[in-house]
Amino acid sequence: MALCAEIKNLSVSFHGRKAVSQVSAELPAEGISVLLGRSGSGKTTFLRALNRLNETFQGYEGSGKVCLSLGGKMKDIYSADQLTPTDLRRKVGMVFQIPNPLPMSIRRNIMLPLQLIPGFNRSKAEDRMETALKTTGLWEEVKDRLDTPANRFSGGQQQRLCLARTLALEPEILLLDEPTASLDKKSSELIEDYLISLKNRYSMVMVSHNIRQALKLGSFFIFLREGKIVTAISKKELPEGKEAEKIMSDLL
Amino acid sequence: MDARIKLLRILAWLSAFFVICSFLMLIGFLIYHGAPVINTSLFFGNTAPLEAITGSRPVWDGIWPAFIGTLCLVGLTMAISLLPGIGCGIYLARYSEGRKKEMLSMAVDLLASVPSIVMGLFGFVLILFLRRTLAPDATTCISLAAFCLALLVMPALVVTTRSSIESLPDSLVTTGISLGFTEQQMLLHILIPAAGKGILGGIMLAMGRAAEDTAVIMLTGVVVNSGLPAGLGSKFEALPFLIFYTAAQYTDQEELLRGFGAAMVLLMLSAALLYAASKLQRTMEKHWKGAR
Ligand SMILES: Nc1ncnc2c1ncn2[C@@H]1O[C@H](COP(=O)(O)OP(=O)(O)OP(=O)(O)O)[C@@H](O)[C@H]1O
Ligand SMILES: [Mg+2]
Repeated sequence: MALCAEIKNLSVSFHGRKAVSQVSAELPAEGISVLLGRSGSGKTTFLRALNRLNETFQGYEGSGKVCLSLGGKMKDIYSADQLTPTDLRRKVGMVFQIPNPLPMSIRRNIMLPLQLIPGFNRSKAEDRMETALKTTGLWEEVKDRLDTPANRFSGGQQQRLCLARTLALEPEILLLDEPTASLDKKSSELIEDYLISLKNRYSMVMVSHNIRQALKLGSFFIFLREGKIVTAISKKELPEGKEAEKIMSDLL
Repeated sequence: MDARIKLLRILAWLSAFFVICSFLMLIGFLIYHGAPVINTSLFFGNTAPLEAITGSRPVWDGIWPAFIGTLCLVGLTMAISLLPGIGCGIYLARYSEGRKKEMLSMAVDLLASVPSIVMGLFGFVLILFLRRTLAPDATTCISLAAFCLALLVMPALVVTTRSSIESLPDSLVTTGISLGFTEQQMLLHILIPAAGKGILGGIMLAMGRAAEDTAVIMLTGVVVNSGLPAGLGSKFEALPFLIFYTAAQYTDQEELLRGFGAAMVLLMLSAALLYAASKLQRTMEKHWKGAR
């Protein structure tokens, strides 16, 4: 089985309090891996370890090894000589729980990160923006309003913009931290559909609170409790239908 | 309960009314006395305006040299103070921690509490020191005045820059980092533009202060009659000092009225500078946001 991530003995603490302790896991490259667990169990922290975002918060201390499959090779992302954090974060895109557009227009939201890549061709940026907006189904809705401030759009549209902004950077791995948690049912389902359509193109790691959603999207599940992994199972090992939901909620 | 809210409202309204009234009275007073005397002869005296503006002929009995002097002084002061002031604010907001941060912000607070006359004295002593050591020919001049004014206005820049950057939501930084921005790109393309309005507030405060301060320049090179400032090392005239001098020494009604005219011009100059700064900021913000 091809892997997208290999995590060994990962520990993260903030201000001396453990958020994730001694976690080891192997995530498949195919499909969506879903992290489940109660609030405060360390899901977000685990996810942020994959794009080195934890270290930007105060009181961070971490140890362990994380290797990601980037450019066809397994790379140790915490070793200094393989990748700069900046390059890593462009290759490993992240979408957050609450839509976080920058306080600027739709166009600038997508173009600015592109323009700041050293040596990036400006004329290519427009194409990438259009492609990314089409991929998240936003193009038809916003193509006449590209210069409108992003915060004037609905929550669901903003979240799809954030997804598009990440996709425009052409990442290899997508990290999704409860991307539908702040949205209503309809917008959630829309985003879920787009994620399904993307799962053959990117390796994805997602945090979800919602078992129904996890079963719909995911093919590999990791259960966390108090910073440790309780179980990791793939979808194939689960029975069909209602029974699977029951097993999953027992594990939570 | 209801009565208390009502009382609070009335108090708030009265306070606002008091501020507006004071402002209107002051402006009204200035306009009443100053507006009638604002004309070309107030600026240029008996010299032809064109010759005065090009500097080919000196102006003796107009406020033109003081007007230009103040403009140059404010420009120089901002040129000296802008970078270190904003830079120090950024450093305090983003990079310093613990004791270093405390010490530095205390130093800034102390600097902010130095009265302007003391800053003037400092400049004066500095030039005496320079004369005895490195530069025996040094005298008080526009550069020295601008330097001392820069020290005076720097704390305003530091404090407003720092607080407006610190009050930005943390999620802005996290967003930037997750999109692969380097620290430098984050500052240049996200944090500083997003804090632009606050920083502009500091710049306005600093410019206003530099334009109106009299105590500092009195001890560091302003004179009553020097014509246009000839260079960085020359004496200069300035509107606030002209007003002060007129108020103290006027001999007839006409001279007093010229003082009012100068006060009014100073007010308009400050307003114009503030307007230009805010216009510039709005243009830059529009460009940054990309919104039409
Ligand atoms: N930036 C931070 N600073 C300090 N403590 C943190 C930080 N991020 C997480 N923690 C702590 O780490 C622990 C795990 O938090 P984490 O956000 O990973 O949980 P989670 O599983 O994502 O929870 P939720 O489902 O509520 O989002 C918590 O105890 C939390 O207080
Ligand atoms: Mg979380």
